[in-house]
Amino acid sequence: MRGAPLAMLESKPSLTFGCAGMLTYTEIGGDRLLMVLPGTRAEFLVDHLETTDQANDAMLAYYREAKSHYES
Amino acid sequence: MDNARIADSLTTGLGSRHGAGGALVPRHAAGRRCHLRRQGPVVMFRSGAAQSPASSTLPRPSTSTARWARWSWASTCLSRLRTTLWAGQADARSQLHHGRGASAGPQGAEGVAGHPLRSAQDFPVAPDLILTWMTPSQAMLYNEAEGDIQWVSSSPPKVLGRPGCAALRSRCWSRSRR
Repeated sequence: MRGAPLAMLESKPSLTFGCAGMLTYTEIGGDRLLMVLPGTRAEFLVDHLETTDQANDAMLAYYREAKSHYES
Repeated sequence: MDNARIADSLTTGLGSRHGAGGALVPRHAAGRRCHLRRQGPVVMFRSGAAQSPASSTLPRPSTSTARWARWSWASTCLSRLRTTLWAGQADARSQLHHGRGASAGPQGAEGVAGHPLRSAQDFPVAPDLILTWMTPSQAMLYNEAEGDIQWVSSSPPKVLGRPGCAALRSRCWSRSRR
């Protein structure tokens, strides 16, 4: 779980697919990634997550609507 | 920022049907020496009370499921997070009987009778690390919320794979050399 020390050392989030050991010990499903965030970034992330979520929903609606034009 | 809000945000603040699970880890639990057995608190948060974070059918939670418990850190690497949580349950049960603590695990802890889980808001320290497991679509949201979405970058964010544990040992080694 290389992401953990990197997150601490660099104060940056790390994303990892997870090696076989991590997946085995944690029993996290193979369809999941592991994100490691420095605690110092928590407030920033929480503040921005809702906005990102809303933006994603808006884009998703747009993409679906646009796709329907190709399908019709 | 209180830990309950962090956990709530990470479990409910995602735009998909599936919530994320994870843990808040204080620095001492992360370990200055890998080989030390440490006892520390950890916040577990997950989206389904009766479901494993490994499940791909986690529902999006409507309320906080963030809970914390004592965590017996007896591992040489963080990848044994879940295993050590379970290993710590017997000790946590003992603490509970003495009115000093609670017990939790990422899977099925609520199914253990008599194990009240305390609110993440009561978690005594700010986390140094936040571990979350999530789907790729959730990871995209996290990445974007972190401001890491870039069209052009000299140092694009990396997605890591193997090795996991070796990097932790490397970190401990570098500390011991200071």
